[in-house]
Amino acid sequence: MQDLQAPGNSQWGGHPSQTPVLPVEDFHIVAVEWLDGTDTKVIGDCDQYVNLPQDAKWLGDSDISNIDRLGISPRFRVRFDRPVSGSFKWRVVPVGGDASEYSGAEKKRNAKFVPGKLDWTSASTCGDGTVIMVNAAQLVAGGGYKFKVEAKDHHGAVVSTGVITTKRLFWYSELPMLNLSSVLSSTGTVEAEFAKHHLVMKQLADLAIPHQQNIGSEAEVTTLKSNISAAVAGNPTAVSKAPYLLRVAYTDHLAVKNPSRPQRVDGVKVGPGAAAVKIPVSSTGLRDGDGEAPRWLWSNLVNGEGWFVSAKYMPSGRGAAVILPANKVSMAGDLVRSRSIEVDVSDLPAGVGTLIVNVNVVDRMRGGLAFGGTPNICICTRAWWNTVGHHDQACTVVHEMGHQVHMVVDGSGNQPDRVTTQYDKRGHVGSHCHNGCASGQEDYSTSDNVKASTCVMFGTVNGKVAFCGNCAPAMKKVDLSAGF
Amino acid sequence: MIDYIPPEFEYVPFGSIEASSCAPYVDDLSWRGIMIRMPEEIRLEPDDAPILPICGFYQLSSLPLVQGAAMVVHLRGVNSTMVEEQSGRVVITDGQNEPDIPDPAANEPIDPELWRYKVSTAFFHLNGQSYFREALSPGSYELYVSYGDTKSNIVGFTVNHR
Repeated sequence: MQDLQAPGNSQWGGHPSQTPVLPVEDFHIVAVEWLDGTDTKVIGDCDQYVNLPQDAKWLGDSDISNIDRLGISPRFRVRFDRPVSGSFKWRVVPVGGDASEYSGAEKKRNAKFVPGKLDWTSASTCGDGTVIMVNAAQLVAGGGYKFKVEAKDHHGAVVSTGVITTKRLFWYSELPMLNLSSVLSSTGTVEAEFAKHHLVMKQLADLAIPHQQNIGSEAEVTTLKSNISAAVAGNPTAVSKAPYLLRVAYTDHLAVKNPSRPQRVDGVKVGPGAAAVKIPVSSTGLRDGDGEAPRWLWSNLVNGEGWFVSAKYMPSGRGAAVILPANKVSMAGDLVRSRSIEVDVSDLPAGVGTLIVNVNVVDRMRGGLAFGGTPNICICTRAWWNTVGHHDQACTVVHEMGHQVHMVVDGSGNQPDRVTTQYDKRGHVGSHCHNGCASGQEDYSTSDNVKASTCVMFGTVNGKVAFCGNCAPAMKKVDLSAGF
Repeated sequence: MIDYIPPEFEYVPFGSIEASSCAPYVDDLSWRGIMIRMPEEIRLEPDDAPILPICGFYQLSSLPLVQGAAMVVHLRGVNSTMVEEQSGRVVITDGQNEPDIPDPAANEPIDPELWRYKVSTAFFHLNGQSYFREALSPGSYELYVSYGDTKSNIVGFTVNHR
């Protein structure tokens, strides 16, 4: 058997005029092999990171050995037993196969969902009896797909490569705010979930960002984004991973304030000796569809921001309204948080009338945010004045990262077909999955639906950390070659 | 570009719960109900996605609202190709993509006595089209909003293609 030689070093050269013409029966195909870093080193079964470009800059911090393991079109070499320019045929062969194969519609939307070439295709070796095939075989953009290349000579003898398995890889940095009381201690659960879908996550060093008590207003969001960008910009390794780097910021509360909401009670008896009036706090929500509901006062969330705005008493009949000072209105019960207030009406002239107290209330508290169009996601570590458990933080990380990898796909653009339980604008904004809940509902934001939901991509934090069976095929198929 | 008659409905602050120039207001503490205003006519190109402004104000007893009453938009064709009455619950359709953390007290029982004299007031500015299955076609319609058992005034409007 002849020693392997690299093209160009062959004693036969590569020129057709110098190529010996042998009777066809005198040479045979010996091997077709995946190349692995050089023109002579080969590998059998292996993984291929199809989302990353074939550039050495992506090898660092990846555990990927060489650039041949990057990209959707791995190089392979065909070798004869003689130094001849001989013809052969080759093809890409899917190995196994499952329900996650791409549909015709998906293949039309994205050329990277189409493996090739699946039909026998003619090629020939150089004069040294070998040829390296570059950008010839195409795998697919998804992960967990297995392929091999087969090649056959004029005798009909068939050889094949080892099995190559597609994977996707991205990096992430955690950016905890300084002085948080409890940040997710391990992302093991998160990485394990994505690994199930053939997505490899590589963690870079943490990058601390300044503390903000709450992210609610646009100004606070802008400050957070600026802090994230500054932290990343100061870390050359993180900078070098764009656009395949996700930035996971951990924040304090993600509460939204609904300012100056009127709390009105009619038929109130006031005057010397009158009992304090207890008023349950409620408001309509800031979002259409978030109807009137009991609300918490905006208290002890942000230094300098209180819940009290103004108060007045309007006597029945023609009496003039009386402005009540702040010290006549207090939170009922708990000194930290409360859903009711008490008004001291004993200093008012005796009578009956209406009390109107304007207060700032909590509209809602978010578990996380995915900033559209950026690689930033934001995970809250405190909600409703309490620490968010590490399991729920992990759920939110998976959920927000899920959005970054295009979940829940709706069949648009260059992504997979719509997940059957995908929904949007029915109680939650953004593309989510209602698996576990009845189909066709107008509003998936109800507490019953939260309990029934089975997918981490449901629109409310529901304690689930895994992508459901409906989302899993899309997770396998999704194209991440553009990064974040 | 969609034209509204009167043109003040071209500047509806959708989603706002504050007063606006297009929203009605009833300056009477004793009044209870829902009041809405809408454009009399909507003119749009055949390819335009209809936007149906509904500007409203309610002043209602809080108790049934905090017990889970739903706001619903009701539509019927008066002179249109729409045969059946349509209604759609007002749900969250706009805003940021953000998973809420449920309020831990959301399912605590409501004490009717505590809420007995509480009154809720708010403005609303809806795009009614968001809650209907079918896009509005040219024709004449009537629309009202309900919140729990309370119904608003009925408003008539027409949709015309330019």
